[in-house]
Amino acid sequence: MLDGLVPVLVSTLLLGSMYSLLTAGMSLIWSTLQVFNYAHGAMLIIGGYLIWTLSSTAGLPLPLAVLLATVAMAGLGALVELVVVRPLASRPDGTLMVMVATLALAGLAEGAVQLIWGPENKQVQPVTTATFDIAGVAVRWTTVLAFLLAVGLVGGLMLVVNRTEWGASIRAVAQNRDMAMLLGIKPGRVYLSVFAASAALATVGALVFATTTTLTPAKGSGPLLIAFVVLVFGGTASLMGTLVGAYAIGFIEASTSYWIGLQWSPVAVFVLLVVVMLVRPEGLVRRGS
Amino acid sequence: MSADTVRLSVTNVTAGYGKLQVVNGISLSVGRGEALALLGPNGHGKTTLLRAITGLGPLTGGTVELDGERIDRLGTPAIVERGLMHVPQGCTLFPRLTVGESLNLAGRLKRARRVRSANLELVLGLFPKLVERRGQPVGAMSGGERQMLAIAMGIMANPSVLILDEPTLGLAPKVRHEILRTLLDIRATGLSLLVADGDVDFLFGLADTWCVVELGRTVGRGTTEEKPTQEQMMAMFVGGAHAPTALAAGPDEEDGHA
Repeated sequence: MLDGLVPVLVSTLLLGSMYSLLTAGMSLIWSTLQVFNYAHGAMLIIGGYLIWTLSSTAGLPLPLAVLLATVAMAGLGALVELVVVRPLASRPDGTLMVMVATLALAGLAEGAVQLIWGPENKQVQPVTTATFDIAGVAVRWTTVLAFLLAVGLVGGLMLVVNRTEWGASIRAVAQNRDMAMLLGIKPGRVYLSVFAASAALATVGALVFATTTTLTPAKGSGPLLIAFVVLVFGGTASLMGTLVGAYAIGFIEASTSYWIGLQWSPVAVFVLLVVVMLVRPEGLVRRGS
Repeated sequence: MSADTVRLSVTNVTAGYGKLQVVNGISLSVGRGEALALLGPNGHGKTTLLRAITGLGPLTGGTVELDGERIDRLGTPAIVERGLMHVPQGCTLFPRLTVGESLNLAGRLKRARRVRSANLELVLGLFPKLVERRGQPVGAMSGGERQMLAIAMGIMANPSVLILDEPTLGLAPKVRHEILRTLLDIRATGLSLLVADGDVDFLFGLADTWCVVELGRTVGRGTTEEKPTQEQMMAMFVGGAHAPTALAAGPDEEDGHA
């Protein structure tokens, strides 16, 4: 069994990094508005297509393409908050209305992506195809890069949320909106920044996604489902839980695929999800401050 | 009270929830360094009035002025920035923030930043318990400690008028006394207070003037030097049929501001 440990751990590193980047933004939105953003998968796909357009079509170097796409997607995330979320969030049953609106937005985005980029598969060329060797297993440098991006960005986000005034404002609005307003915090601004940050993180997740697999307009639902599983598995509203959950799900997928069979991977993930929900409904990591 | 000494002026305010009007035209005013006690039976509009004044609840009519400037069309953050702070009833604050983080957050307003250190020193002096609790999450504090923190956060916002809604609710007599002593100290610094509470001794120990709200109207006013009679006390806390004629006949239209 130990024979396959290195490839399993390498796959865990790649999958966990991708999943944590996908889920961190969603976790941030959940912890602030208690809303599940169904359009998050669509944001990832649009971000991926933007990176593809800027790098493959416009010929920009990949890092610059990612940077421009991330900024553009942060703007789009802010626009979604302004146009879709803000008018609905303050109404009675606003949470439900926002969730339904994001679901509609996901469908709209899928259609728009198909109209703009067409139905063909697209793949972003990785920044390098070089590998190095661990115990006879060739490991791509892009896997290491994905890990550094995930831990750096999600860890950085944790630091920002827990150590800065902006982070304290986010936590304050999430815990007591009225009291936050009484301290001069404008919830609208907090929500706007959270949606922008979430879309930006999804775009970096899209880089890992689009260099690992192919992009099609309808592919947003898969990562969305995974993000939901990670959110519940790691503990909702906890960024540390997102990191732990993402790598745990990555390990379950990788080990089941390697040792049992690819078709058993989703079965194992969802069986474990049900067990976690029954035994530890708060998720693997309890909600911190 | 002359116009230049009035800090907060509430004129003919109406407020409610949807089609239900809870506050039916209340007027009151609070002067510089003055404390006004708001009394009345539960469910007769005191909290709705206070929430409407600070923009937390919908204000359907009337005007609110702070230091002569109309603030009733502003959002809550803008109202607080102008100097009107409100500690709501049964406020849970931020359960997963630490005491230190909560105090820092309260001092982030523009008007409070320049005096943040001085105010922090002041509140930690007024509530020494907060010093030892600084690193603890608010959710782990007792009701009394949380109320002290809520008042401390109100002071950190550096207001000119502080509204307190039921500051002694559910607290032990010793803690009530401690909070009363502290609020008297705060008043001495020139801060104006508008306080609603169910504890008459607490209110009369703190305030200069009082005003009774019943069925969304003011039905009586006075100064705390004139203690209300037993009958008047019944009107304050039971209302309705118990309201004495003298009190019930004294609405806002007659006497204007308190």
